[in-house]
Amino acid sequence: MRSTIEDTLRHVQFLNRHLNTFDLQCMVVVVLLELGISTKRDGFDYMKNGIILLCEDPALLITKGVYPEIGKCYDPPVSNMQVEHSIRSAVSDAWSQHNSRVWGYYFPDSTGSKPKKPTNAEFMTRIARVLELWQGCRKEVSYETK
Amino acid sequence: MKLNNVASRREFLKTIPTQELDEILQAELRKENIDDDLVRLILDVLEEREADRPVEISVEVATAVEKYTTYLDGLGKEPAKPTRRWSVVLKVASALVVVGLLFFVVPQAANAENFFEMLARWTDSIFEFFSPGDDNKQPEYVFETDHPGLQQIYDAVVELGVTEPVVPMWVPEEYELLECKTTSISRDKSVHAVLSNERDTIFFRVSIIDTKNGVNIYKDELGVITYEHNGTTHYIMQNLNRQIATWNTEKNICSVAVDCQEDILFEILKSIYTTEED
Amino acid sequence: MKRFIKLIALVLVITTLLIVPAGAENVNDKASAYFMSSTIYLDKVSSTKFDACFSVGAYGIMDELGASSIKIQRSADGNSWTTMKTYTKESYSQLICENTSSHAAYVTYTGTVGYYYRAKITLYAKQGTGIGEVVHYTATLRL
Repeated sequence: MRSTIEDTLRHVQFLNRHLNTFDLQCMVVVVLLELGISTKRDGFDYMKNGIILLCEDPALLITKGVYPEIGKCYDPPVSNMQVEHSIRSAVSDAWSQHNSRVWGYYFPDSTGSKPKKPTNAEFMTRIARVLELWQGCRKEVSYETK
Repeated sequence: MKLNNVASRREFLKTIPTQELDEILQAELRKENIDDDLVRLILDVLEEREADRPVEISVEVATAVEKYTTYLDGLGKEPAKPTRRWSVVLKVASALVVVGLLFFVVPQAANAENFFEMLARWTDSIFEFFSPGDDNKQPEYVFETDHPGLQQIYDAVVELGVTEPVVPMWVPEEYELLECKTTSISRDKSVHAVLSNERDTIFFRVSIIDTKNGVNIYKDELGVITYEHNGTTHYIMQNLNRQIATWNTEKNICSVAVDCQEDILFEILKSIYTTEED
Repeated sequence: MKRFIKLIALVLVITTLLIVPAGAENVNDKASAYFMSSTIYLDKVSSTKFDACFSVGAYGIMDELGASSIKIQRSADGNSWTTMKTYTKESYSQLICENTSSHAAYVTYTGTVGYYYRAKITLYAKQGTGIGEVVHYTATLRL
Protein backbone atom coordinates (compact mmCIF):
# COMPACT_ATOMS: atom_id res chain seq x y z
CA MET A 1 0.00 0.00 0.00
CA ARG A 2 1.23 3.47 -0.84
CA SER A 3 2.87 5.27 2.07
CA THR A 4 1.33 8.44 3.40
CA ILE A 5 3.38 11.35 4.61
CA GLU A 6 2.58 10.27 8.15
CA ASP A 7 4.08 6.83 7.49
CA THR A 8 7.21 8.47 6.15
CA LEU A 9 7.59 10.90 9.03
CA ARG A 10 6.88 8.15 11.53
CA HIS A 11 9.71 6.16 9.97
CA VAL A 12 12.09 9.12 10.06
CA GLN A 13 11.08 9.70 13.68
CA PHE A 14 11.97 6.05 14.32
CA LEU A 15 15.44 6.54 12.81
CA ASN A 16 15.93 9.79 14.70
CA ARG A 17 14.98 8.17 17.98
CA HIS A 18 17.35 5.23 17.66
CA LEU A 19 20.22 7.30 16.36
CA ASN A 20 19.64 9.77 19.15
CA THR A 21 20.72 12.58 16.89
CA PHE A 22 19.59 14.67 14.03
CA ASP A 23 23.06 15.11 12.72
CA LEU A 24 22.22 15.46 9.04
CA GLN A 25 25.20 13.49 7.81
CA CYS A 26 24.35 10.60 10.10
CA MET A 27 20.71 10.60 9.00
CA VAL A 28 21.67 10.66 5.33
CA VAL A 29 24.07 7.73 5.78
CA VAL A 30 21.41 5.66 7.52
CA VAL A 31 18.77 6.44 4.93
CA LEU A 32 21.12 5.47 2.10
CA LEU A 33 22.05 2.27 3.88
CA GLU A 34 18.48 1.24 4.51
CA LEU A 35 17.70 1.90 0.84
CA GLY A 36 20.37 -0.64 -0.04
CA ILE A 37 23.18 1.66 -1.21
CA SER A 38 26.54 0.20 -0.26
CA THR A 39 29.05 2.40 1.54
CA LYS A 40 31.78 0.77 -0.54
CA ARG A 41 30.62 2.43 -3.76
CA ASP A 42 31.85 5.82 -4.97
CA GLY A 43 28.24 6.71 -5.61
CA PHE A 44 27.47 6.45 -1.90
CA ASP A 45 29.74 9.34 -0.95
CA TYR A 46 28.62 11.36 -3.95
CA MET A 47 24.97 10.87 -3.01
CA LYS A 48 25.60 11.65 0.63
CA ASN A 49 27.29 14.91 -0.29
CA GLY A 50 24.63 15.69 -2.89
CA ILE A 51 21.75 15.21 -0.44
CA ILE A 52 23.47 17.37 2.16
CA LEU A 53 23.99 20.09 -0.46
CA LEU A 54 20.32 19.93 -1.40
CA CYS A 55 19.30 20.22 2.24
CA GLU A 56 21.43 23.32 2.55
CA ASP A 57 20.28 24.83 -0.72
CA PRO A 58 17.04 23.41 -2.14
CA ALA A 59 17.37 25.69 -5.16
CA LEU A 60 20.58 24.03 -6.35
CA LEU A 61 20.31 22.48 -9.81
CA ILE A 62 21.51 18.91 -10.10
CA THR A 63 23.78 18.94 -13.13
CA LYS A 64 24.89 22.55 -12.93
CA GLY A 65 25.15 22.78 -9.16
CA VAL A 66 25.22 19.51 -7.27
CA TYR A 67 27.47 17.43 -9.51
CA PRO A 68 30.19 20.07 -9.90
CA GLU A 69 30.18 20.76 -6.16
CA ILE A 70 30.54 17.04 -5.46
CA GLY A 71 33.32 16.71 -8.00
CA LYS A 72 35.30 19.59 -6.50
CA CYS A 73 35.60 17.76 -3.17
CA TYR A 74 38.07 15.30 -4.64
CA ASP A 75 41.65 15.54 -5.78
CA PRO A 76 41.81 15.29 -8.70
CA PRO A 77 38.27 16.62 -9.19
CA VAL A 78 35.72 14.14 -10.44
CA SER A 79 33.86 14.96 -13.64
CA ASN A 80 30.11 15.52 -13.73
CA MET A 81 29.78 12.49 -15.97
CA GLN A 82 31.58 10.26 -13.50
CA VAL A 83 29.52 11.54 -10.59
CA GLU A 84 26.31 11.01 -12.53
CA HIS A 85 27.33 7.55 -13.66
CA SER A 86 28.37 6.42 -10.18
CA ILE A 87 25.16 7.64 -8.61
CA ARG A 88 23.04 6.07 -11.31
CA SER A 89 24.83 2.72 -10.97
CA ALA A 90 24.45 2.73 -7.21
CA VAL A 91 20.73 3.52 -7.45
CA SER A 92 20.21 0.86 -10.11
CA ASP A 93 21.96 -1.81 -8.06
CA ALA A 94 19.98 -0.95 -4.96
CA TRP A 95 16.78 -0.86 -6.99
CA SER A 96 17.36 -4.36 -8.32
CA GLN A 97 16.94 -5.78 -4.83
CA HIS A 98 14.96 -3.02 -3.21
CA ASN A 99 12.82 -3.43 -0.13
CA SER A 100 9.54 -1.94 -1.28
CA ARG A 101 8.40 -1.06 2.22
CA VAL A 102 11.48 1.07 2.91
CA TRP A 103 11.65 2.53 -0.60
CA GLY A 104 7.98 3.37 -0.37
CA TYR A 105 8.68 5.79 2.51
CA TYR A 106 10.75 8.02 0.25
CA PHE A 107 9.58 7.13 -3.25
CA PRO A 108 5.89 6.30 -3.36
CA ASP A 109 6.09 5.73 -7.12
CA SER A 110 8.42 2.81 -6.43
CA THR A 111 5.53 0.76 -5.06
CA GLY A 112 2.38 -0.51 -6.69
CA SER A 113 1.73 -2.46 -9.85
CA LYS A 114 4.10 -0.39 -12.00
CA PRO A 115 7.00 0.55 -9.74
CA LYS A 116 9.09 3.36 -11.08
CA LYS A 117 12.78 3.63 -10.32
CA PRO A 118 13.70 7.18 -9.33
CA THR A 119 16.18 9.12 -11.41
CA ASN A 120 19.34 10.50 -9.81
CA ALA A 121 17.69 13.88 -9.27
CA GLU A 122 14.51 12.40 -7.82
CA PHE A 123 16.52 10.10 -5.57
CA MET A 124 18.59 12.81 -3.95
CA THR A 125 15.91 15.47 -3.91
CA ARG A 126 13.22 13.32 -2.31
CA ILE A 127 15.52 12.21 0.48
CA ALA A 128 16.59 15.81 1.08
CA ARG A 129 12.98 16.97 1.15
CA VAL A 130 11.92 14.28 3.61
CA LEU A 131 14.79 15.00 5.97
CA GLU A 132 14.23 18.75 5.75
CA LEU A 133 10.52 18.29 6.34
CA TRP A 134 11.25 16.21 9.43
CA GLN A 135 13.70 18.80 10.66
CA GLY A 136 11.02 21.44 10.27
CA CYS A 137 8.53 19.26 12.11
CA ARG A 138 10.63 19.42 15.24
CA LYS A 139 9.18 22.42 17.02
CA GLU A 140 12.45 23.82 18.24
CA VAL A 141 13.78 24.24 14.69
CA SER A 142 12.77 27.04 12.38
CA TYR A 143 13.80 27.43 8.77
CA GLU A 144 16.41 30.00 7.94
CA THR A 145 16.02 31.69 4.62
CA LYS A 146 19.22 32.74 2.90
CA MET B 1 31.83 -16.86 18.17
CA LYS B 2 31.92 -15.53 14.65
CA LEU B 3 28.54 -15.18 12.98
CA ASN B 4 28.99 -15.35 9.26
CA ASN B 5 25.58 -15.54 7.75
CA VAL B 6 22.84 -12.97 7.84
CA ALA B 7 20.26 -15.23 9.46
CA SER B 8 22.55 -16.09 12.35
CA ARG B 9 23.43 -12.46 12.86
CA ARG B 10 19.79 -11.49 12.85
CA GLU B 11 18.92 -14.13 15.44
CA PHE B 12 21.76 -12.98 17.62
CA LEU B 13 20.73 -9.31 17.38
CA LYS B 14 17.19 -10.23 18.40
CA THR B 15 18.52 -11.33 21.76
CA ILE B 16 20.06 -7.92 22.48
CA PRO B 17 18.00 -5.25 24.30
CA THR B 18 16.88 -2.18 22.36
CA GLN B 19 19.08 0.29 24.19
CA GLU B 20 22.19 -1.78 23.51
CA LEU B 21 21.20 -2.12 19.86
CA ASP B 22 20.94 1.66 19.69
CA GLU B 23 24.45 1.99 21.10
CA ILE B 24 25.86 -0.57 18.67
CA LEU B 25 24.13 1.24 15.79
CA GLN B 26 25.44 4.65 16.84
CA ALA B 27 28.95 3.31 17.33
CA GLU B 28 28.93 1.59 13.96
CA LEU B 29 27.93 4.79 12.19
CA ARG B 30 30.86 6.62 13.73
CA LYS B 31 33.33 4.18 12.18
CA GLU B 32 35.20 4.89 8.99
CA ASN B 33 34.39 1.50 7.48
CA ILE B 34 30.76 0.86 8.26
CA ASP B 35 29.43 -2.67 8.28
CA ASP B 36 26.47 -2.10 5.94
CA ASP B 37 24.78 -5.40 6.75
CA LEU B 38 25.03 -4.87 10.50
CA VAL B 39 23.35 -1.46 10.27
CA ARG B 40 20.55 -2.84 8.08
CA LEU B 41 20.01 -5.83 10.35
CA ILE B 42 19.82 -3.68 13.46
CA LEU B 43 17.27 -1.40 11.80
CA ASP B 44 15.23 -4.43 10.72
CA VAL B 45 15.21 -5.89 14.22
CA LEU B 46 14.25 -2.55 15.78
CA GLU B 47 11.45 -2.00 13.26
CA GLU B 48 10.11 -5.48 13.93
CA ARG B 49 9.97 -4.75 17.61
CA GLU B 50 8.15 -1.47 17.07
CA ALA B 51 5.70 -2.99 14.62
CA ASP B 52 4.15 -4.76 17.62
CA ARG B 53 3.66 -1.51 19.49
CA PRO B 54 3.57 1.41 17.05
CA VAL B 55 4.68 4.80 18.32
CA GLU B 56 2.55 7.81 17.54
CA ILE B 57 4.08 10.54 15.47
CA SER B 58 4.97 13.39 17.76
CA VAL B 59 4.56 16.32 15.41
CA GLU B 60 1.75 18.24 13.80
CA VAL B 61 2.03 17.02 10.22
CA ALA B 62 -0.33 19.45 8.57
CA THR B 63 1.28 22.48 10.16
CA ALA B 64 4.74 21.20 9.34
CA VAL B 65 3.84 20.61 5.71
CA GLU B 66 2.31 24.07 5.41
CA LYS B 67 5.35 25.66 7.00
CA TYR B 68 7.73 23.73 4.78
CA THR B 69 5.91 24.38 1.54
CA THR B 70 5.68 28.08 2.38
CA TYR B 71 9.41 28.08 2.99
CA LEU B 72 10.15 26.39 -0.32
CA ASP B 73 7.79 28.73 -2.09
CA GLY B 74 9.55 31.72 -0.61
CA LEU B 75 12.99 30.74 -1.85
CA GLY B 76 14.28 32.86 -4.70
CA LYS B 77 11.58 35.52 -4.61
CA GLU B 78 12.50 38.90 -6.10
CA PRO B 79 12.38 41.96 -3.88
CA ALA B 80 8.97 43.64 -3.78
CA LYS B 81 8.51 46.56 -6.17
CA PRO B 82 6.43 49.66 -5.46
CA THR B 83 2.84 49.02 -6.48
CA ARG B 84 -0.33 51.01 -6.88
CA ARG B 85 -2.91 50.82 -4.16
CA TRP B 86 -5.37 48.73 -6.16
CA SER B 87 -2.80 46.07 -6.99
CA VAL B 88 -1.79 45.97 -3.34
CA VAL B 89 -5.41 45.31 -2.43
CA LEU B 90 -5.58 42.56 -5.03
CA LYS B 91 -2.39 40.99 -3.76
CA VAL B 92 -3.62 41.05 -0.17
CA ALA B 93 -6.91 39.53 -1.24
CA SER B 94 -5.06 36.84 -3.21
CA ALA B 95 -2.82 36.11 -0.25
CA LEU B 96 -5.86 35.75 1.99
CA VAL B 97 -7.41 33.34 -0.46
CA VAL B 98 -4.18 31.34 -0.66
CA VAL B 99 -3.80 31.25 3.11
CA GLY B 100 -7.40 30.19 3.46
CA LEU B 101 -6.88 27.42 0.96
CA LEU B 102 -3.74 26.28 2.74
CA PHE B 103 -5.56 26.03 6.03
CA PHE B 104 -8.45 24.14 4.55
CA VAL B 105 -6.91 22.23 1.68
CA VAL B 106 -3.40 21.44 2.83
CA PRO B 107 -4.33 19.76 6.12
CA GLN B 108 -6.83 17.57 4.33
CA ALA B 109 -4.36 16.80 1.57
CA ALA B 110 -1.66 16.08 4.12
CA ASN B 111 -3.82 13.54 5.84
CA ALA B 112 -4.89 11.95 2.61
CA GLU B 113 -2.98 9.29 0.75
CA ASN B 114 -2.24 11.72 -2.05
CA PHE B 115 0.11 13.83 0.05
CA PHE B 116 3.11 12.58 -1.79
CA GLU B 117 1.52 13.69 -5.02
CA MET B 118 1.22 17.11 -3.50
CA LEU B 119 4.79 16.92 -2.29
CA ALA B 120 5.78 15.64 -5.66
CA ARG B 121 3.97 18.56 -7.25
CA TRP B 122 5.75 20.90 -4.93
CA THR B 123 8.97 19.17 -5.85
CA ASP B 124 8.15 19.50 -9.52
CA SER B 125 7.26 23.12 -9.04
CA ILE B 126 10.52 23.67 -7.25
CA PHE B 127 12.33 22.26 -10.20
CA GLU B 128 10.29 24.44 -12.49
CA PHE B 129 10.59 27.42 -10.24
CA PHE B 130 14.29 27.00 -9.66
CA SER B 131 15.34 26.43 -13.19
CA PRO B 132 15.96 30.04 -14.08
CA GLY B 133 17.28 30.64 -17.55
CA ASP B 134 15.99 27.30 -18.70
CA ASP B 135 13.21 28.56 -20.92
CA ASN B 136 12.09 25.11 -22.02
CA LYS B 137 11.94 23.89 -18.44
CA GLN B 138 13.59 20.75 -19.80
CA PRO B 139 16.10 18.76 -17.77
CA GLU B 140 19.68 19.14 -18.88
CA TYR B 141 20.58 16.42 -21.35
CA VAL B 142 23.53 14.20 -20.47
CA PHE B 143 24.45 11.41 -22.85
CA GLU B 144 25.69 8.42 -20.94
CA THR B 145 26.09 4.90 -22.28
CA ASP B 146 28.18 1.80 -21.69
CA HIS B 147 27.90 0.77 -25.33
CA PRO B 148 30.96 1.83 -27.33
CA GLY B 149 29.00 1.70 -30.60
CA LEU B 150 26.36 4.11 -29.31
CA GLN B 151 29.10 6.37 -28.00
CA GLN B 152 30.64 6.42 -31.48
CA ILE B 153 27.29 7.31 -33.01
CA TYR B 154 26.83 10.06 -30.44
CA ASP B 155 30.28 11.47 -31.16
CA ALA B 156 29.48 11.53 -34.88
CA VAL B 157 26.16 13.26 -34.26
CA VAL B 158 27.78 15.84 -31.99
CA GLU B 159 30.36 16.58 -34.67
CA LEU B 160 27.53 17.56 -36.95
CA GLY B 161 26.50 20.10 -34.35
CA VAL B 162 23.43 18.26 -33.05
CA THR B 163 22.97 18.89 -29.34
CA GLU B 164 19.43 17.59 -28.86
CA PRO B 165 18.74 14.10 -27.52
CA VAL B 166 18.54 11.95 -30.65
CA VAL B 167 20.89 9.04 -30.00
CA PRO B 168 19.72 6.05 -27.96
CA MET B 169 21.68 5.30 -24.83
CA TRP B 170 20.69 1.65 -24.86
CA VAL B 171 20.44 -1.23 -27.26
CA PRO B 172 20.12 -4.91 -26.30
CA GLU B 173 23.34 -6.65 -25.45
CA GLU B 174 25.51 -8.28 -28.10
CA TYR B 175 24.71 -5.71 -30.77
CA GLU B 176 27.90 -4.47 -32.34
CA LEU B 177 28.37 -1.43 -34.48
CA LEU B 178 29.03 -2.45 -38.06
CA GLU B 179 29.13 1.00 -39.60
CA CYS B 180 28.66 4.58 -38.55
CA LYS B 181 28.93 6.91 -41.50
CA THR B 182 28.58 10.64 -41.79
CA THR B 183 27.65 12.11 -45.15
CA SER B 184 27.68 15.81 -45.78
CA ILE B 185 26.81 17.48 -49.07
CA SER B 186 25.26 20.81 -49.82
CA ARG B 187 22.43 21.36 -47.34
CA ASP B 188 22.16 17.82 -46.05
CA LYS B 189 24.21 16.22 -43.30
CA SER B 190 23.44 12.76 -42.01
CA VAL B 191 24.71 10.11 -39.68
CA HIS B 192 23.69 6.57 -40.54
CA ALA B 193 24.57 3.62 -38.33
CA VAL B 194 24.07 -0.14 -38.47
CA LEU B 195 24.28 -2.37 -35.39
CA SER B 196 23.93 -6.12 -35.55
CA ASN B 197 24.03 -9.19 -33.33
CA GLU B 198 24.37 -11.55 -36.30
CA ARG B 199 20.69 -12.39 -36.16
CA ASP B 200 18.95 -9.04 -35.96
CA THR B 201 19.91 -5.54 -36.94
CA ILE B 202 19.21 -2.05 -35.66
CA PHE B 203 19.48 0.94 -37.96
CA PHE B 204 19.78 4.51 -36.84
CA ARG B 205 19.76 7.66 -38.93
CA VAL B 206 19.67 11.35 -38.14
CA SER B 207 19.55 13.95 -40.86
CA ILE B 208 19.98 17.67 -40.41
CA ILE B 209 17.53 19.18 -42.77
CA ASP B 210 17.96 22.48 -44.45
CA THR B 211 15.93 21.81 -47.53
CA LYS B 212 12.30 22.22 -48.42
CA ASN B 213 12.11 18.65 -49.71
CA GLY B 214 12.30 16.89 -46.39
CA VAL B 215 13.11 13.24 -45.94
CA ASN B 216 11.53 10.09 -47.36
CA ILE B 217 11.06 7.15 -45.03
CA TYR B 218 10.19 3.94 -46.81
CA LYS B 219 7.29 1.89 -45.50
CA ASP B 220 4.86 -0.72 -46.61
CA GLU B 221 1.10 -0.44 -46.99
CA LEU B 222 0.31 -0.91 -43.28
CA GLY B 223 -0.79 2.13 -41.33
CA VAL B 224 1.21 4.54 -39.19
CA ILE B 225 0.67 4.81 -35.44
CA THR B 226 1.97 7.49 -33.15
CA TYR B 227 3.88 7.05 -29.92
CA GLU B 228 4.22 10.01 -27.58
CA HIS B 229 7.18 10.13 -25.26
CA ASN B 230 9.00 13.02 -23.65
CA GLY B 231 6.85 15.51 -25.51
CA THR B 232 7.82 14.10 -28.91
CA THR B 233 5.53 12.35 -31.37
CA HIS B 234 7.16 9.30 -32.86
CA TYR B 235 5.60 7.80 -35.97
CA ILE B 236 5.76 4.02 -35.97
CA MET B 237 5.45 2.12 -39.21
CA GLN B 238 6.42 -1.13 -40.83
CA ASN B 239 8.66 -1.94 -43.73
CA LEU B 240 8.37 -5.64 -44.52
CA ASN B 241 9.67 -7.32 -41.35
CA ARG B 242 11.04 -4.17 -39.79
CA GLN B 243 9.57 -1.72 -37.32
CA ILE B 244 10.58 1.86 -37.91
CA ALA B 245 10.16 4.88 -35.71
CA THR B 246 10.69 8.32 -37.09
CA TRP B 247 10.33 11.73 -35.49
CA ASN B 248 11.58 15.24 -35.91
CA THR B 249 13.20 17.70 -33.59
CA GLU B 250 13.63 21.37 -34.43
CA LYS B 251 16.22 20.82 -37.13
CA ASN B 252 16.65 17.09 -37.39
CA ILE B 253 14.74 14.14 -38.71
CA CYS B 254 15.57 10.92 -36.93
CA SER B 255 14.77 7.29 -37.59
CA VAL B 256 15.37 4.05 -35.83
CA ALA B 257 14.51 0.73 -37.44
CA VAL B 258 14.71 -2.73 -35.94
CA ASP B 259 14.01 -6.15 -37.33
CA CYS B 260 13.40 -7.71 -33.94
CA GLN B 261 10.43 -7.34 -31.55
CA GLU B 262 8.56 -4.09 -31.42
CA ASP B 263 9.04 -3.73 -27.67
CA ILE B 264 12.79 -3.44 -28.26
CA LEU B 265 12.09 -0.47 -30.52
CA PHE B 266 10.16 1.27 -27.74
CA GLU B 267 12.90 0.61 -25.20
CA ILE B 268 15.43 2.08 -27.61
CA LEU B 269 13.27 5.15 -28.11
CA LYS B 270 12.82 5.69 -24.39
CA SER B 271 16.55 5.42 -23.84
CA ILE B 272 17.10 8.47 -26.03
CA TYR B 273 15.56 10.68 -23.39
CA THR B 274 16.80 8.96 -20.27
CA THR B 275 18.71 11.88 -18.93
CA GLU B 276 18.36 10.91 -15.25
CA GLU B 277 17.90 14.54 -14.53
CA ASP B 278 14.09 14.67 -14.55
CA MET C 1 -16.82 -9.46 -82.95
CA LYS C 2 -16.03 -5.78 -83.12
CA ARG C 3 -17.93 -5.26 -79.93
CA PHE C 4 -16.03 -8.08 -78.26
CA ILE C 5 -12.67 -6.59 -79.30
CA LYS C 6 -13.77 -3.16 -78.06
CA LEU C 7 -14.79 -4.71 -74.76
CA ILE C 8 -11.41 -6.43 -74.34
CA ALA C 9 -9.63 -3.18 -75.22
CA LEU C 10 -11.73 -1.32 -72.66
CA VAL C 11 -10.91 -3.86 -69.96
CA LEU C 12 -7.22 -3.59 -70.80
CA VAL C 13 -7.32 0.22 -70.63
CA ILE C 14 -9.16 0.21 -67.32
CA THR C 15 -6.73 -2.32 -65.88
CA THR C 16 -3.77 -0.21 -66.98
CA LEU C 17 -5.27 2.93 -65.48
CA LEU C 18 -5.81 1.11 -62.18
CA ILE C 19 -2.08 0.64 -61.81
CA VAL C 20 -1.75 3.98 -60.07
CA PRO C 21 1.80 5.16 -59.64
CA ALA C 22 2.75 6.05 -56.06
CA GLY C 23 4.77 9.13 -55.17
CA ALA C 24 7.78 6.97 -55.81
CA GLU C 25 7.90 4.51 -58.64
CA ASN C 26 9.12 1.08 -57.60
CA VAL C 27 11.23 -0.27 -60.39
CA ASN C 28 11.70 -3.34 -58.29
CA ASP C 29 9.02 -4.66 -55.88
CA LYS C 30 11.62 -5.26 -53.23
CA ALA C 31 12.85 -1.65 -53.19
CA SER C 32 11.87 -1.01 -49.58
CA ALA C 33 13.80 -4.05 -48.48
CA TYR C 34 16.92 -2.03 -49.20
CA PHE C 35 16.16 1.62 -48.51
CA MET C 36 15.50 3.09 -45.09
CA SER C 37 15.53 6.80 -45.81
CA SER C 38 16.48 9.29 -48.49
CA THR C 39 16.62 12.99 -49.27
CA ILE C 40 16.63 14.44 -52.77
CA TYR C 41 16.67 18.08 -53.81
CA LEU C 42 18.05 20.72 -56.12
CA ASP C 43 20.38 23.31 -54.65
CA LYS C 44 20.91 26.54 -56.57
CA VAL C 45 24.56 27.60 -56.50
CA SER C 46 24.48 30.52 -58.93
CA SER C 47 22.13 32.20 -61.35
CA THR C 48 22.62 29.42 -63.92
CA LYS C 49 24.04 26.52 -61.97
CA PHE C 50 22.47 24.10 -59.55
CA ASP C 51 23.37 20.84 -57.83
CA ALA C 52 21.09 17.82 -58.06
CA CYS C 53 21.64 16.12 -54.70
CA PHE C 54 20.67 12.90 -53.01
CA SER C 55 21.39 11.22 -49.70
CA VAL C 56 20.32 7.65 -49.02
CA GLY C 57 20.49 5.29 -46.05
CA ALA C 58 20.06 1.56 -46.48
CA TYR C 59 19.10 -1.46 -44.45
CA GLY C 60 22.50 -2.94 -44.11
CA ILE C 61 25.86 -2.71 -45.78
CA MET C 62 25.27 -2.80 -49.51
CA ASP C 63 27.71 -3.93 -52.14
CA GLU C 64 26.70 -0.81 -54.06
CA LEU C 65 24.57 2.08 -52.91
CA GLY C 66 23.67 5.42 -54.43
CA ALA C 67 21.93 6.44 -57.65
CA SER C 68 21.93 4.52 -60.90
CA SER C 69 20.98 7.67 -62.79
CA ILE C 70 20.15 11.35 -62.41
CA LYS C 71 18.16 12.89 -65.24
CA ILE C 72 17.97 16.67 -65.40
CA GLN C 73 14.66 17.76 -66.89
CA ARG C 74 13.60 21.16 -68.11
CA SER C 75 10.29 22.82 -68.71
CA ALA C 76 9.21 26.17 -70.02
CA ASP C 77 5.88 26.17 -68.19
CA GLY C 78 6.40 23.73 -65.33
CA ASN C 79 4.11 21.15 -66.91
CA SER C 80 5.75 19.52 -69.88
CA TRP C 81 9.23 18.16 -69.20
CA THR C 82 12.19 17.27 -71.40
CA THR C 83 15.26 15.38 -70.27
CA MET C 84 18.28 17.56 -70.93
CA LYS C 85 21.06 15.42 -69.49
CA THR C 86 21.44 12.01 -67.93
CA TYR C 87 24.17 11.13 -65.49
CA THR C 88 24.66 7.41 -64.98
CA LYS C 89 26.62 5.49 -62.40
CA GLU C 90 28.74 4.01 -65.14
CA SER C 91 29.91 7.44 -66.25
CA TYR C 92 29.90 9.29 -62.94
CA SER C 93 31.55 7.16 -60.26
CA GLN C 94 30.58 9.53 -57.43
CA LEU C 95 26.98 8.39 -57.77
CA ILE C 96 27.78 4.99 -56.25
CA CYS C 97 29.68 3.95 -53.15
CA GLU C 98 30.67 0.36 -52.42
CA ASN C 99 30.33 -1.58 -49.15
CA THR C 100 28.36 0.98 -47.28
CA SER C 101 24.98 1.60 -45.68
CA SER C 102 24.85 5.31 -46.49
CA HIS C 103 25.85 7.50 -49.39
CA ALA C 104 25.33 11.05 -50.59
CA ALA C 105 26.40 12.71 -53.83
CA TYR C 106 25.46 15.43 -56.31
CA VAL C 107 26.00 16.50 -59.87
CA THR C 108 26.25 20.09 -61.04
CA TYR C 109 24.29 21.27 -64.01
CA THR C 110 24.41 24.57 -65.86
CA GLY C 111 20.98 25.57 -67.06
CA THR C 112 19.28 28.47 -68.83
CA VAL C 113 17.71 31.33 -66.97
CA GLY C 114 13.95 31.47 -67.28
CA TYR C 115 13.34 27.73 -67.34
CA TYR C 116 12.04 25.33 -64.70
CA TYR C 117 14.24 22.42 -63.78
CA ARG C 118 13.81 19.21 -61.83
CA ALA C 119 15.81 16.02 -61.41
CA LYS C 120 14.58 12.47 -61.75
CA ILE C 121 16.82 10.48 -59.44
CA THR C 122 16.80 6.68 -59.43
CA LEU C 123 18.18 5.45 -56.15
CA TYR C 124 20.02 2.18 -56.40
CA ALA C 125 21.12 -0.58 -54.02
CA LYS C 126 22.78 -3.89 -54.79
CA GLN C 127 23.46 -6.65 -52.32
CA GLY C 128 24.61 -10.01 -53.62
CA THR C 129 22.35 -10.83 -56.53
CA GLY C 130 19.52 -8.59 -55.36
CA ILE C 131 18.96 -5.09 -56.66
CA GLY C 132 16.61 -2.40 -55.43
CA GLU C 133 15.71 0.84 -57.15
CA VAL C 134 13.29 3.62 -56.39
CA VAL C 135 12.62 6.75 -58.45
CA HIS C 136 12.07 10.20 -57.01
CA TYR C 137 11.50 13.61 -58.55
CA THR C 138 12.93 16.67 -56.87
CA ALA C 139 10.94 19.82 -56.33
CA THR C 140 11.06 22.27 -59.22
CA LEU C 141 13.62 25.04 -59.38
CA ARG C 142 13.32 28.08 -61.60
CA LEU C 143 16.51 29.71 -62.80
